[in-house]
Amino acid sequence: MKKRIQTYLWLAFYFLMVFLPIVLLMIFPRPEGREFLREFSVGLGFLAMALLGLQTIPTSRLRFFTHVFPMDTLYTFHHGLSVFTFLLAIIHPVLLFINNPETLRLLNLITAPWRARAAVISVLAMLVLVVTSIWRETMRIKYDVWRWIHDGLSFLAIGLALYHMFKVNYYMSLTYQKIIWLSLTGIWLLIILYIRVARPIVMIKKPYRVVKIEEERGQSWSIYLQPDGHSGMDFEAGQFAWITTESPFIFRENPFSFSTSAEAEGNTIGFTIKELGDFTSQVKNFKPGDTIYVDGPYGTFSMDEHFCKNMIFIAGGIGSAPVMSMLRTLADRNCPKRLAFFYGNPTWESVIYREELEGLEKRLDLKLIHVLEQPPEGWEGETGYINADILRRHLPDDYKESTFFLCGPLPMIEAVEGAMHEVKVPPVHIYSEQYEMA
Amino acid sequence: MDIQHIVERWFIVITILLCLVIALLFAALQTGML
Repeated sequence: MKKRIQTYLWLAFYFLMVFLPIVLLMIFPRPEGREFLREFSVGLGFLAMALLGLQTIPTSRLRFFTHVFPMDTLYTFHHGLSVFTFLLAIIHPVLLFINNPETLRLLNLITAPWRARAAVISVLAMLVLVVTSIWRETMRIKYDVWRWIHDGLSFLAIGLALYHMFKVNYYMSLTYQKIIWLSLTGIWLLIILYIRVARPIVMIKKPYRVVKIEEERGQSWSIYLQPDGHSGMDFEAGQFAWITTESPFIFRENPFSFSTSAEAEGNTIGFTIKELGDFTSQVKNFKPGDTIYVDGPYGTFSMDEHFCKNMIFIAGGIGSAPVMSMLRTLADRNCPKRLAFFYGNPTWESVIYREELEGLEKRLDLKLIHVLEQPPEGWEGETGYINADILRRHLPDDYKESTFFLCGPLPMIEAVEGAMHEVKVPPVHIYSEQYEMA
Repeated sequence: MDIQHIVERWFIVITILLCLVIALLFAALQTGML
């Protein structure tokens, strides 16, 4: 099935999951209405419940979603709508309090009935979820600890909100509403079971062994893996995978882009990892024979996914890993297309893959533009950050028909996209992938 | 901004607006305003 049709079908399914219960309530016979504010509040409450349960999906890494939607889009969507869901969950009782101030007594957890206690605790759980997710780094919560907190609180918030809804039992007294909400709950539970049980089992059954570790420039290491007792995986250049050295049930995976060629002979896969934190600092200590669990491939940041006439790559630092995978793949395919790579780095010494890129310039029709923040003495190339002036100087004449692949941290992507907007690159020709998804 | 990010931003905005409109519609129907 064509991707476009799949996308529309999933979007239709998404809107169905969010709006079906309340839309059916508007169509079929229902209990008598009450005051406007109270009914508006109930409507928002139903929608908050549907959106809350739905948040299990975007980050579930279910193939049929990740195949269609870019992973960073799914995460952005999850972040944006989670905050909105929390706001709905707050507005829902506030409207009830405005409508009838006497209901404020339901906030007293000692005297309130269980249906109200469940709602209050659910909203508090959502508050902690939002705060620890937005300010995780400021609060210095380790990623894996945060993930356990996040999953536990999500489970609590969803479970208690459902309990509240069923116990209030006004519109839920309708049998078809009960069936719809139980079905939705079943879908959410299946997704949670898949994330927590099925996927880790699959990863354990298909381990990889480290075959080689190579030091790269810029405090980076390339790690090469081979499947252990299975046929490995096929990936597209530009995609990424989650990897971990510990049991997949511990959920300490980290996402890394493949840096090897998708056309490489054998089934070796490789990643280039920069020392930035806990896990990335351990990579240099890996030894051949070590076991690694890999979950992938993921991502739609791939030149095979889109029609490309000529290609222009823009990356900074370790953002070059997926670009390198694409260039290596294109070299293996003897690609005749015109290519350009704008590559930003702090110093000449920190340019990852520097020597190999010089070799690729000879194998491919590739123009390499290094942009250095702190250039060495006598440097005649570009300096500073990749900006509109640098793009104007080096882009080919027909750049508006080229396909742009942009990879790096969000601030860099936003800055470069601003520069691309200045030189009037059509937005439909730009594909970007930001690091820092969680 | 690339098309992917334009679409994702609009998708979130559309979801938010639809939620508000449908909740208002529900309240209006239940109170006999519609």
